[in-house]
Amino acid sequence: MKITWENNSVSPWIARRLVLSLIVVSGLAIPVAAQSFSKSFRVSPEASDLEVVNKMGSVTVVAAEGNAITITAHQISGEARIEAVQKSPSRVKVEVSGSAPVDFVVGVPPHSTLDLLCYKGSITVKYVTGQLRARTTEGDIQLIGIRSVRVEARSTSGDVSFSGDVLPSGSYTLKSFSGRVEATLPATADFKLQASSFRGGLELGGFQMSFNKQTDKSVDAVSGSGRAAVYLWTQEGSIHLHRKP
Amino acid sequence: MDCRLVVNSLSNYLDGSLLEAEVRLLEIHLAECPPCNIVRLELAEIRSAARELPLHTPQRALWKRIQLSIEVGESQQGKGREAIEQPGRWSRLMSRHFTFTLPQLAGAGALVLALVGFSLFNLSRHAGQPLNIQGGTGPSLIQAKAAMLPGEPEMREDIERRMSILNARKAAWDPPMREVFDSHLGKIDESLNHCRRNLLANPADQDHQQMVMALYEEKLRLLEDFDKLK
Repeated sequence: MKITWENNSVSPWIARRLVLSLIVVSGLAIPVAAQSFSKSFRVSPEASDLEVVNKMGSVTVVAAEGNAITITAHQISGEARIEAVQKSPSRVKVEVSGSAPVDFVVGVPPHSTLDLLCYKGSITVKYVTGQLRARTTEGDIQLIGIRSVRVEARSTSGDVSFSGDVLPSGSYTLKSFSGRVEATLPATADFKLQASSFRGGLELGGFQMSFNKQTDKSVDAVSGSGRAAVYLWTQEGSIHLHRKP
Repeated sequence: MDCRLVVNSLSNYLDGSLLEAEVRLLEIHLAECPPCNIVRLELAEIRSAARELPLHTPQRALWKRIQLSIEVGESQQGKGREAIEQPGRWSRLMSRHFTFTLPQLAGAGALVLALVGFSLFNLSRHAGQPLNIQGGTGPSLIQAKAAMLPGEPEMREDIERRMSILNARKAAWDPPMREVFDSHLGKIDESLNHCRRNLLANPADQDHQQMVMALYEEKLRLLEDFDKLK
């Protein structure tokens, strides 16, 4: 493009600035074209079930009062197809096809059972009390304020952290191949612990535990009478068990 | 008495060419070792069956025909060569006439059978034993198989099955998805091989046993997850 000017028109400096601004503004316009998706499903507050199969992008699920599963998705760029279907009165499935990253924020009744999967993106779950399964290949998993009888969280290269209650006869599995695994449990938690870290080491906090086995790589121990089962595993990362203050 | 020695002596035993003391030792072993006794019975059966076969000696005309065809073949090969080569050891051997009787052939067959039987017996006997590597050039395939952990063969089979399904689908994946899959699978495999090697060197190491199984599970879960993605 060639910009010319005459003596009585705008100065060359201003002309150049105008062109530059146009380029910048058109560049910024790409994210503005991002798509949003929102959908809500009425479910039973006592028995609802949500499955999310995302590919790239984050998944955040937060417990909310009421009897609805509310899905908000934000697609920043590229082409992805979001399919949200109510398979039965209590069951909702959300699935993404295509190759664009999609970020989800989902509100669910607290008792909901969750099954969340993505291959590149973080997963965050807050304050749910239903059974919970979360898996990602590249990304962190954060489970906050959980009061569930069954938890399974697994990331291949991200960190996995859990804070919440340990219910009697509950099962809590937190795994990461190369990330850090962290669990913050109540001081009075009654559980048996199996923890293994091949390279990163184990830090078991201030729990009073009786050890059945203890090496530098793995621990088999009991806190209280061992009613719940806590399984922490990482190959390359470290394990940290904390007492809730 | 060692099983290998017993099996090697069985032919002489059946021929009645062993010393009395050797026979006694061998029979004590046979009474206590069912696999060797089975080999003896099979060998005896083959020998008696072979004895009942009629004796056939190839006619002289057959040897003439074979000799002629070899000579024709050699002369064709020799065309174009600048110098006539001296007959080698192989050609001298080929030009010799051998006559085998059927009992001799049956005896050779029996020996082959006995060796195969003995090898199979040894394989099955060592399969349940822990691996012990001291020096040497490294673990053999048999040793590696013997050191399999409980549940490991099933896990490997399941992984291979899922892997073949995913490999068929992988071409349709987006490049970033393929990259993430391959890279993480590679890392798990690398760790798995490392743990496996350590476990071969020290089969009783419970930490490594646990790690190997955990890594197989990790690999299996990764395959399951990618299988679910559209």
